[in-house]
Amino acid sequence: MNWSSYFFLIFLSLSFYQKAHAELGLQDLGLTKSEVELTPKQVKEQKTLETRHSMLKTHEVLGLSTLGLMTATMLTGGSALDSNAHMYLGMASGLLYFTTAYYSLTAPKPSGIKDRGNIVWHKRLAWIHFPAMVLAPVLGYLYKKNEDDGKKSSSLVKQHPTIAGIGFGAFALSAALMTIEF
Amino acid sequence: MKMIFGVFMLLSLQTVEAKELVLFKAKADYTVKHLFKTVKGESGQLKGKMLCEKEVCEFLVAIPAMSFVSSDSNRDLNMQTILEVKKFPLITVKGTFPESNLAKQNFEIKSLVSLHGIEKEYVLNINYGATSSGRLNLLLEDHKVERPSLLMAKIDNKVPVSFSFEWKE
Repeated sequence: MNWSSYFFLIFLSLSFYQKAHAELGLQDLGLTKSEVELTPKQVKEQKTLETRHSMLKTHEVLGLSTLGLMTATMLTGGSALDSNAHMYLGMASGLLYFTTAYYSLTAPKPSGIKDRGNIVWHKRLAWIHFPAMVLAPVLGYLYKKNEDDGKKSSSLVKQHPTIAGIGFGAFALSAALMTIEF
Repeated sequence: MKMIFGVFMLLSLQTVEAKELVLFKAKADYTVKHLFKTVKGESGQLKGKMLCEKEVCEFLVAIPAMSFVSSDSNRDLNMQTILEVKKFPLITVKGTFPESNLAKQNFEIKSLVSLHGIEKEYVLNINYGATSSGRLNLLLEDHKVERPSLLMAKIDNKVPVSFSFEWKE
């Protein structure tokens, strides 16, 4: 073995020595580049998450405000023919309700996320309170108009309090399900 | 010439002495406490290595922040937002300890935890055995993590994190 072979062996040995003594790094764990470094796609996805978070926070605040207004509307239902308070509260509730729905329906959702937990029932209950919130104001308007004109309301129009009550119940339950989450 | 050969042999022997272990069957879970409820989330996607040489062991464990799953998908998305998982995709735990500790059943390690891009030192309590476990208490505000709130009350700043793991050569 000549000198150059010895030097090569020493060099090789030192390389192994240095490698063995180097601090453990993420590359030693077999992580891929995309798992460690930020890609433009990931920056965009984080923005999506933040937009979603912000929109759902607004949805939450508006939803709780809607619930408050709905409660007041329900409580004034008995005096609906004597004053306009019930009607105005109902209009405000409806306006806030559909604004709340807008923030939920348009919030971006990252792909590949399957709903689990209370959110599943929160969404299912919308199939009850959404039609009720469309129907109740129309029936309420017709009921009041008929009463003012001295006309007899149809059996469907007379169901205004029942439909509004079902919508209110479903909405309150839906809000309660999400309020106990964070 | 003999001296050079001796140096080479010595360095080679030192290299052989180093023991490398890979994390295996590892799981991590966090517990978030609030006035009204307690929530758990867990991840089984831990990657880690431990290198023991010259009576000192060094370890590094990485967990994809996105991999933590709780019982509610909406909560998981909130967690991903506040931890900015796309900006800071990994949570890492690293530290060193004397190799002699591996002969004990319980010991403590001063470890560095990187969460939300901020590194802080914590005491990691280890229960060492065939299947080992570890526990540390993360402090969210130390990592500039905005604490989520429920009915005007924020979750506890202290988040206990538990690990269970095995090492294989």
